[in-house]
Amino acid sequence: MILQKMTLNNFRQFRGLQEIEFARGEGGNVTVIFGDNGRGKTGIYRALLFCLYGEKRLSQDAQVDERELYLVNYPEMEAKADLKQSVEARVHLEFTHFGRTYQIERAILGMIADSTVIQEDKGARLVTIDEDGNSTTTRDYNEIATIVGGILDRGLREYFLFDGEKIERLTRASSDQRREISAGVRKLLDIDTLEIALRATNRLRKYLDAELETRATGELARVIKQLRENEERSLELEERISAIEEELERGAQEKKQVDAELDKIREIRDLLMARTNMEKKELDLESQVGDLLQDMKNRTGKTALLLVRKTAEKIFKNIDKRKQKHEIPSEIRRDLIDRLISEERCICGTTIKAGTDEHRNILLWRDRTTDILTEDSMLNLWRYLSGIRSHYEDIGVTTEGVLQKYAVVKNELLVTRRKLDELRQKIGSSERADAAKLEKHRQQIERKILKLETEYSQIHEEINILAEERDRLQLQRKEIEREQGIRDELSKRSTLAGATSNALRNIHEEFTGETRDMIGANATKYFRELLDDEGKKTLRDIVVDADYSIQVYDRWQKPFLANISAGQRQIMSIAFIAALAGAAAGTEVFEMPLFMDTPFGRLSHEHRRKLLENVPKWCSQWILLATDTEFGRFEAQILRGTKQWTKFYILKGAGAGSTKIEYIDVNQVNGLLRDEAEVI
Amino acid sequence: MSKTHRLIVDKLKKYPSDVQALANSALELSESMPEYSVTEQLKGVIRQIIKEKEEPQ
Repeated sequence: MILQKMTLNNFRQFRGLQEIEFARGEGGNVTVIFGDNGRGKTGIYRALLFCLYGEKRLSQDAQVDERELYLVNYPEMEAKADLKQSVEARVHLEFTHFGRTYQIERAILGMIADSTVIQEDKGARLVTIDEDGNSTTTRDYNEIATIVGGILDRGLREYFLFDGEKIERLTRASSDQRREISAGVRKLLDIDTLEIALRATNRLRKYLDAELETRATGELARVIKQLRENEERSLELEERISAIEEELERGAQEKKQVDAELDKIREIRDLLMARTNMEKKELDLESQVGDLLQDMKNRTGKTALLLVRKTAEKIFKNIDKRKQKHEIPSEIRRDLIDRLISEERCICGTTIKAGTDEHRNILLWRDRTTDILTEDSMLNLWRYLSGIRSHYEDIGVTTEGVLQKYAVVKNELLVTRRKLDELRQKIGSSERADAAKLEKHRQQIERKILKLETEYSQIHEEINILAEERDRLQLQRKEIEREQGIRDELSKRSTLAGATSNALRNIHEEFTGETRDMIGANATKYFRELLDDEGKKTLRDIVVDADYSIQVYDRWQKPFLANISAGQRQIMSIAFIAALAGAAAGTEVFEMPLFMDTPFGRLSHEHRRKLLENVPKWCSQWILLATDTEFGRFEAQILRGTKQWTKFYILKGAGAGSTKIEYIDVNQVNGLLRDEAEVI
Repeated sequence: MSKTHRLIVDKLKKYPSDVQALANSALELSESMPEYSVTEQLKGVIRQIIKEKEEPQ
């Protein structure tokens, strides 16, 4: 199937008539459809499935009510709602397949009535044009389904869309992965019929054995009964093995979760320790700040002197000067001079009359003296000021020192408190002091896993023993029948049913085994094409095991899956899905369009390069759906280098709920694409 | 006959003719019937095969 052109009219986000022409042929087979999330990249694939098969859902819509899946463009229906008019959504597809041209279109009507969306199929048409140009047309759904199914079986369509979700699912070594692969292989082989036949012949055998058991006697009856019991017990054990496998898987998941919790606690432990130390530091700094404040208080008196230093100095000099002049203390005390004046008599005994020169001199003298209290105070002040004058510098330096230290300690305290707040936020409200509980829980899980593993081994052993016993009993039965000459009709029927059931079982195992081997071989081929040089040195083969799990083997043929990186897992998944698609297509180069929806995910540059260089060689058409984070100038450059990239479409928003498809020449796209530096 | 059926028939060739006969019947019936119905039909088929085997050539 080679897609030529798709036309959409009011389908999903694509309002109005829009078209995509796909790259095809020798000149180039790569189409890139580029757009943000929600712009309709997957819608292109959805349109394809709708047109080919009438499918309205993808596998991702499994949980969605079909009535909520609007295939008709909603804004267009809204615009026509008031006029009570319906809107037609139509998809037209042209493709070729081994020389024939096919034109298929399908339509659906939609309208909004009483706030409810009603959708109704409008019909389909398929025109087939053969190599000679003769055309036939059919509008019959069943006929269209048969013709299209003959080109690509409906059950296999999902193998030609690789989306991130599918790729991610396959990277997990889980029962989901095994189921996915098992379903893939079974669909590929189309072995439903074989499996029904196998179960039916087995049921027939059991029925005939039960009949034989009721009719046989003696030794034969006993052996048949033992065979039946053996089979029932084996079935029981097989079921128990499956249950144990699921329990082991759950146990492993639970243990992983507990380990993750314990890791968090270990991180928190360090934070708790840091918080305790920080709190101690806070207390210490607060104490220092307190001491320094007290010290400053104690120095207030002395420090205050610095404020009055100039005045104090002036006073000191004044007093000192008066001392020098012997004015303080005065030679004669003032009270004595007052007494001499009042007695009008000098110390020497001479009479001093008022108005005389002697009287005036004594008065002058008295004026120069101060009272004794003031004198004492001045002398004390002089002494005090003498004492402290020499310490001004010291007081200044010490006070400055204390102030500086206070500023430093106070700042450190603020920083410490900020860090403490940050730590407290990181630790959060629950401090998970229950590490001991988690450890205990982990030990319980480990014990349970050990117990299950032991039971698993024991059951396997028992199954092997039962198988050996079954073989022995069957031989014994044949021997008894031979000895007793019992070849009655019922016995023969039972034997034949058993032989046929075994034959079909063997063929089933051969088939599925051969297919698993083929898929493994192809997956290995693609895997090695995608690996970088380092990966190639270590990794060798992809193998699909009998239980449908994928395993990667290293160069020493040892299982290595648990050790590969997330990026390598991703390319392993891509290689595997490509191998399934190849098996589905039945040819080396898939004659089917390969849709890849955002496949780059966790891939390194080197892996992206390998993917971009190789996928165009694997298939006849590659339609790559990508967002701006997936496809930038780097990817564009690599793709241009393949000379296979010829079509580029950008899906642009065109109003609420609508997208416009715009074609851009591949040589003009760089302006739209991000540079790597912009991502950083 | 589907491609898978043809391949199975090919693989059945290494088994005895009566096994081939019963297996082929089972496969043909399984293309259009569910398991239970196939089993019921095979009860008759297997009788016929045994009878034909017993008949002198």
